[in-house]
Amino acid sequence: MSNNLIASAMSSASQGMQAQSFRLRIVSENLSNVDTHGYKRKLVSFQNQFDAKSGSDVLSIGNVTLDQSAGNSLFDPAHPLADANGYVTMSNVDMMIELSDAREASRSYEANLTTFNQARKMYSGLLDLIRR
Amino acid sequence: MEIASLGALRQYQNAQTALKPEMAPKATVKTSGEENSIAKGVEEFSEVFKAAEQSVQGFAAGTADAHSVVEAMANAELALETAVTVRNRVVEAYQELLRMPV
Repeated sequence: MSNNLIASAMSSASQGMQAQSFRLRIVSENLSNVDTHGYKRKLVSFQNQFDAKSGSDVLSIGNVTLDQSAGNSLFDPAHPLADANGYVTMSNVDMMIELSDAREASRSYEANLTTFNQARKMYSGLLDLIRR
Repeated sequence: MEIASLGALRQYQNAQTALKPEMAPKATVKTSGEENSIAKGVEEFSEVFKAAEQSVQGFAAGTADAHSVVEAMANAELALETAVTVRNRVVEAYQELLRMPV
C-alpha cells in the first residue's frame, strides 16, 4: 500500500497488541500456578527491533525468564514435600503484582487498539476529502 | 475480538467479489512510464489483498493470530476504499469531459 506511514502505524499497533496478549498469557500462567509448590514466576521482557522493510522500530518479545527469588516457606510437617525442618516452599507469585500486571497489559492493549483505530480513521478521513 | 474479526471477514468477502474483475488483467501491462506506474499501483493493491487472504488462511489453519488478521483486513479495507475513491474521481472527470459542449 502506498500510504506507508499509516500502514506502519497500524502494524506497530498490531504488534503491540500481540505483545500485550502474550504478557497477559504469562500473567495468567503465573496466577494459575500461585499454589504450585516451588513454582517460579515468569517474567516477560520486551525489546524493540529495527524493521528495515517498513523503516520503523517494531516491538518484539524477548526471552521469558524466571524470577529466582525464593518463595514463601510454610510450616507444614505433614506435607509430602516438606523438608527436614517441616517447611514447604510455596510459589513466589504475588497475586497483587500479577493482577496489577494484568491491568497494565489490558490498558496498554487498549492504547494500541486506540492507535490502530485512530490511524484507520485518519486515512478514512483523508479519503473523505476527495470523495465529496 | 471474535465479533470484530467476523465483521472484518464479511467486509473482506464483499471486497473480494467487488475485486474479481480487476485481478485478471495482468498480461496487458505495458512498459511505458505512466502506465507502468499505474500497473505497479494495481499490483501493490492486489498484493494487499493477497496478504489479507493469506493471513485469513493462516488464522483458519491456526498459524496466524487474530491481530495480524485484523491488521491485514484493515489494510485491505483501506486499499479498497482508496481504489474505489480514485476510480470514482476518474469516472467523474471523464463524465465532466463528456458533458463539455464542443
